[in-house]
Amino acid sequence: MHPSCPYDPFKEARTKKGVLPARFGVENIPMILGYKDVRLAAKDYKTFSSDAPFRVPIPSEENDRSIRQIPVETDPPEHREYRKIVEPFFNRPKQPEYIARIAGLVNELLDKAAEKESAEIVREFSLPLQSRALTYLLNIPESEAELFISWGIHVFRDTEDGTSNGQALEDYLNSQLDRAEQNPEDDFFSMLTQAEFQGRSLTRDEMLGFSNLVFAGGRDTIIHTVSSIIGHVAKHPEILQSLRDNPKMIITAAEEFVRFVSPLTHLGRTCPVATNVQGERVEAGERVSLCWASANFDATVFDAPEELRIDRKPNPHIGFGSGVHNCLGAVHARLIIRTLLQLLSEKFSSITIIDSTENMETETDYERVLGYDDLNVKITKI
Amino acid sequence: MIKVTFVEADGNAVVVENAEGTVMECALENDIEGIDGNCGGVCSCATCHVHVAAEWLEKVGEASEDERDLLEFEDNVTERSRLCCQIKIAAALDGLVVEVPES
Repeated sequence: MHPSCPYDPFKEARTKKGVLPARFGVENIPMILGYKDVRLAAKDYKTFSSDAPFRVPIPSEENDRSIRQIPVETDPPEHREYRKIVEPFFNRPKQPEYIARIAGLVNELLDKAAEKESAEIVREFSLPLQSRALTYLLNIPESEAELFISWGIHVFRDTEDGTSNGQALEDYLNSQLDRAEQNPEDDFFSMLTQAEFQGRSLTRDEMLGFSNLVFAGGRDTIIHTVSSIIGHVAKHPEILQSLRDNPKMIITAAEEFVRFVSPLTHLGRTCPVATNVQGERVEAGERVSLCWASANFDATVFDAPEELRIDRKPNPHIGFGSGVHNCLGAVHARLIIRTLLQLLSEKFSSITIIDSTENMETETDYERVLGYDDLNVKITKI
Repeated sequence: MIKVTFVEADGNAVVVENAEGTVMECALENDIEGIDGNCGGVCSCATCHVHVAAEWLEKVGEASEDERDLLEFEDNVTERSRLCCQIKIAAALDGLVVEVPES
């Protein structure tokens, strides 16, 4: 398949049928592609349920972890009660001191990259940025980031031999929760050990479920988005000038990058009863995909969707998902992206790509560009 | 000087005397409880949902299709619902009253 836009391999199927019957390992999963259809399915949790451990991500993660991720793998009404427990923590990125800390981090890493003749962006910039920012989100010592960096780009699947890293993560989360139970502090794990759900404490599995999601959900997504932004700005130097001339545009540019990169291609939902999805029969217990990446290129909603327009407004993208499960980490992610765009435009006149290899998400029935495997650039200060 | 009143979900009224920009921006500057404006006003996140006071509905006008599509997925939506990032403050809206629904 040679799609005209490498970010949107779904165009033909979306326009013709609205659905792509796709194979993932041993599973056949119809992908819902149109903007409105994706949003409607995301809202209809009775027909398209998230109450399916390991089966919201595609491919499914039975072999990557032993516990259900919470709240993403639950349905209302439990979902709402679960989510309420952690929501205040995920709003901390709105606090002035948090914003200043992220700015300091991005500034430090950009300065370090700019000192080099050739700076590697994926593993030497985006990965440490994501890992160190995660310690701010969890409110744990920044030194913990060294371990997270050693786990690589994808928390479950960045090993040399392709085996899962999941056990290392679960061991780590258990050790943090043990520590929090003995010596609670002001961190995410301690908050979980003190939280109440339906009048009782959380079980260890529930605490692990919340914690696992925080590590899995915001990792490769942020890394690919950050790397993509730097790659794109390098190819389109006028963006830095436009943002310098009009810093208010940082907000719209950040949203447009999330739409354009769509760092999470899709998520799965399980049909409790046999369901017809735009002509594709889904048997009870089988899955559909809600394809955010396709919806974000739907020309019935977005003018010239293949163009990255940093002033796009309105921009009702669903790069952070849609409905009650919309991305818990979106406030944190938006802060990182906006800060990156602000500091790039304030400090640097140009970025030149020395060499790069795009990362391809390759499945049986589609292939799409998603960030970079490596990206070497020269960053020039103003 | 354009005045906008926000009635928070608990009934607390906050009067802003020198409102400018959009109603969402005005809410953020004045720390109105329950209005987050996470996406910065591009009509993507629906975290600036308000109910426009009935007497102001006509002057504020109707939501665009994009906005209606987002509202469709929100809780506590009524015929007075708007995303306030899409309401530009103008002289004709001097005295505007909006209510923040329960989240």
